[in-house]
Amino acid sequence: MGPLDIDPKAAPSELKAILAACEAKASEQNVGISGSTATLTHISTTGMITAASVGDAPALFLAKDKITADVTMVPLTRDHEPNHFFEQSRIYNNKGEVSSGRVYPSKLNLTRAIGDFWLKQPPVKWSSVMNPMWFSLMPVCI
Amino acid sequence: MVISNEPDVVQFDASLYLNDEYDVCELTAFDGILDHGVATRQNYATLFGSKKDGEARNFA
Repeated sequence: MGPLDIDPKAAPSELKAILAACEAKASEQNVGISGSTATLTHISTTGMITAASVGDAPALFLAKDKITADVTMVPLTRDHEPNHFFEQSRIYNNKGEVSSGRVYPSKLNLTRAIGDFWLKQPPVKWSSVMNPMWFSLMPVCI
Repeated sequence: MVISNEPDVVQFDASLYLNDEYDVCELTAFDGILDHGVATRQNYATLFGSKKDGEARNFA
């Protein structure tokens, strides 16, 4: 077996491992405020398609009937958008907020990404900010 | 974390379509058929005249 000859049963964990390696590499290189979406797909020799995605880069499977010309489209990903119910639930559970289709406090219009490490820190509690200058310039935020 | 790097993973058995009855392909956003941002399922369904966009199969 070569490195790309992945068994379909192992494909999900293999693709997740590749994306985790991308995240680790980005962390090593200190990409700062940069980030990216990422979608990986693997097609086995038996026709099993595996897709792993972070962000909003779509992957689709299309099959066109040669006689009727009907096209069947199978989405293999869903966009990780702030307005999606499951994403919104996760964000609120992690003390974030969604407004106007963006995640606050980051203002990003995606809920998952490779990189963008500054958005992956736990949110700062205003009351725990100890900078005296802050309190001298701003009204108290609770 | 508010922003996560956890991927969604899905598998689809396309073997039923891998025969002489169908022309098949797989597209990603990077194929450049539709620009990033408008490469939505609906836009692809419209572009290819899909009668079944497979919405029900988009994740369990």
